Amino acid sequence: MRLAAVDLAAQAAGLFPGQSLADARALEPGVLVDDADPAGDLAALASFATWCSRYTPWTAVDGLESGGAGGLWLDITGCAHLFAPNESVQDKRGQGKWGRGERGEAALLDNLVRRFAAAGYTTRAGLADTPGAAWAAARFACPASGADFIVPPGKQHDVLAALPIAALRLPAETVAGLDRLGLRRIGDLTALPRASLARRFGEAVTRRLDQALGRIPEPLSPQPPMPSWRVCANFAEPLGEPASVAAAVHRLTEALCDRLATADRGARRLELALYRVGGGARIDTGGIGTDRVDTVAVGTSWASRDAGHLLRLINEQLDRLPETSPDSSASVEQAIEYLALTAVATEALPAAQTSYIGGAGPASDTTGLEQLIDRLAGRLGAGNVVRFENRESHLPERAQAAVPALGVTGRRAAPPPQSPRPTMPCPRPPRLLPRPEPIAAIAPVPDDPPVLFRWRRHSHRIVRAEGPERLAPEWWRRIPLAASPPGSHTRDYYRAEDGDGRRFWLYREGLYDSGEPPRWYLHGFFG
Amino acid sequence: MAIDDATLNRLRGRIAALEGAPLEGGGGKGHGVISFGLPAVDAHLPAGGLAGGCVHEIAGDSGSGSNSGSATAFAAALAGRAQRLHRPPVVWIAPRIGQRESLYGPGLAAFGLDPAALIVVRVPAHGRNGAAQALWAMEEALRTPAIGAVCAEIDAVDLTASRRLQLAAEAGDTFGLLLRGAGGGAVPPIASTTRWRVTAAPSGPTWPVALLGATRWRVDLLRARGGRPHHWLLEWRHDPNFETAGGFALAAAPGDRPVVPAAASVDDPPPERIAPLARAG
Repeated sequence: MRLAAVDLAAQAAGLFPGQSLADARALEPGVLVDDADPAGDLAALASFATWCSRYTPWTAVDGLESGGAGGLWLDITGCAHLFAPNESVQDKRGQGKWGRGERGEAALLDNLVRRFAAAGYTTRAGLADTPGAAWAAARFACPASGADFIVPPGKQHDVLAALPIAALRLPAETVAGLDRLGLRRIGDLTALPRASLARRFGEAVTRRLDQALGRIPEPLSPQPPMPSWRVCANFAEPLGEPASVAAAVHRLTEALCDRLATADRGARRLELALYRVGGGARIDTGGIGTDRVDTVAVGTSWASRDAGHLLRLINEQLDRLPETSPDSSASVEQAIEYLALTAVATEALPAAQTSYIGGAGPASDTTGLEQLIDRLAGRLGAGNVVRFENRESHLPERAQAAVPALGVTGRRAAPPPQSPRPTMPCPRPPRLLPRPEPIAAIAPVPDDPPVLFRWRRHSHRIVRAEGPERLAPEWWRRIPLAASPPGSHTRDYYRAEDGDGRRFWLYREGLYDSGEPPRWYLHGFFG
Repeated sequence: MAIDDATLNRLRGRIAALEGAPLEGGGGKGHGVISFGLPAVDAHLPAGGLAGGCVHEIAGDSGSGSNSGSATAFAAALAGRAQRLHRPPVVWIAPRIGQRESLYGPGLAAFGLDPAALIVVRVPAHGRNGAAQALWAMEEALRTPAIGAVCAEIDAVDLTASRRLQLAAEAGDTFGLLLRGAGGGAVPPIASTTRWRVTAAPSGPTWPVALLGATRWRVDLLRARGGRPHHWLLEWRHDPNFETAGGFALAAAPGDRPVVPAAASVDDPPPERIAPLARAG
């Protein structure tokens, strides 16, 4: 087993990729080892490439390299000036069409390296006119990890000349072959006649050289852009009035629903981010003002692009934000200057036939139910809107499980009307106490129901009773009932009626012959 | 001065429209009427049953604070009838007690409420916030036409809130049941179409030993818009095999008790049980 990659600390301890694990352990007994996962690394790289679309839409994965590193391409043509500090935009305005040089590039690279560092990654950034030169600059000209190197415009030849030949992205054997001839720097290659170079070492050498120097173009194939279901609104005058915020959210929701409709998709989860003035900075301008961003998330139990429905869900949540609730006056600090509505999760939702004569057709019954569940779950919490499911258990409290109604109904659109089929033929009460409550009972031995019991300071004299129904503990469960005392858990259930006709479900836990006295519990109420 | 019948009927219709009550004998204006399936009770109610698009109030057994079973079962029975006569989904808004449910599906099924089409909404048990959430949830549910019936256990309802609920029920043409006073204690009067009080009643005699007979309720109709108060002694006859949903029945004097539970068979005979007999015969 060999090391595939080492971190900075391990590097400092003298470990290097390719070293055998035994050597590494001998060198540094405290080394922490984890299995290499190239597929996972690639997936992470792809997600980084997506993330880097904050800098430019044109991002691509370069691939994994030896030593566990990975490369990303960012074509920032036309993007760098967005990161330029304001004063430099003023100063350098006349400096050339594409704003090469300092105009924002350093700020962009600095921002990128800083953000990766904040996330715990070490990066080397290189920036140049051509992909090849940038590649070389990042790997060979960059002074240290966490730094960046910018090749000045048109100066790639000067910079590359001093770099080793490995900076040309050539196969290792070609590099070794050139090395044997004493060609160690790129400058050594450019000094040679092209024709003989191509003849002896193949066309790759001259191609890479030309690409790096910008003599022939090298296109990057960017990641297919993720369709982003995001709409946003920027306000020159920050919104303080809740009514105007609501109106803006309304517009955004409709815009998003229009886009979803074009793509035949519906939203399952939405996030609305409200950027407040007090946060000082918005995205991408250096400061990370996340503490002044309020996020509102809503989920739907099935994909929807009904603007009215989604808006109701969002408004439910908006009302909870203290600053946007209608009865508070928003201060300037809390005014909203930027709104972004994102459909985080979407699903295919084919277009539905609406009515011919204007307006939406009659909403189907199930849609009404789904939307109600969405609204209830959105405000009260998904765990508080439940359906009952039968479970395979003969213990009454285990025979029923409450499952969130949100999501379950998406698949099974309408609960089919079915005849009630209980799991047990024995009568069960419509109300069960959340936990069986101990009662003081007087009962004839051995198997008679109580004649009198006392529960919550009321005495009840039993006039009629049926039972017992004996329920043995579920011996196949490892964990005994939490509420049960040690010993016997057998329960004998009785239905009992007092003189007023009130009906109780009582049980005796334990048997008389087991030594300890049995306990009586009240478990439920019959109708 | 002679007034012809047409004029009289028109005037009656206008008064009824003003009162918001369904027209007598007019078929209830298209609202689904939840009948008891008992001619004696249904004939007494102006709508021929509990009018749909309305909120009805069921006061629990306020004698001791211990028993909400009777009112629960009665409400479940009515909601179950709404499921079959109206639309299946039923929303039940209940205060949250611990992490567990106090409603029990298998027991509700015995009173004809299908737990598979039941959605339980749990709201905080105490405090103004809990009541406000419960009222909001009930209003939302009542406004949803897809819902067959909405049951809510809310004590803190005032006149204004009950008017809102009534309007929501009219808007959604849904059937609302308010269970009140289940925890004991007096509750303020509210605007409801009918107001019932349900208390447990002792079982009828069984032979040869004292067993539990059919569930019995003393049902008081305390108030009915356009009707008169009354009281009945009702029984719930449920099919022990759960092949029919069961039904209400008048608790008869011992001598007149019918052998076959009349309500269960007359009510809505399940077609799948009749077909094989017809083929065999």
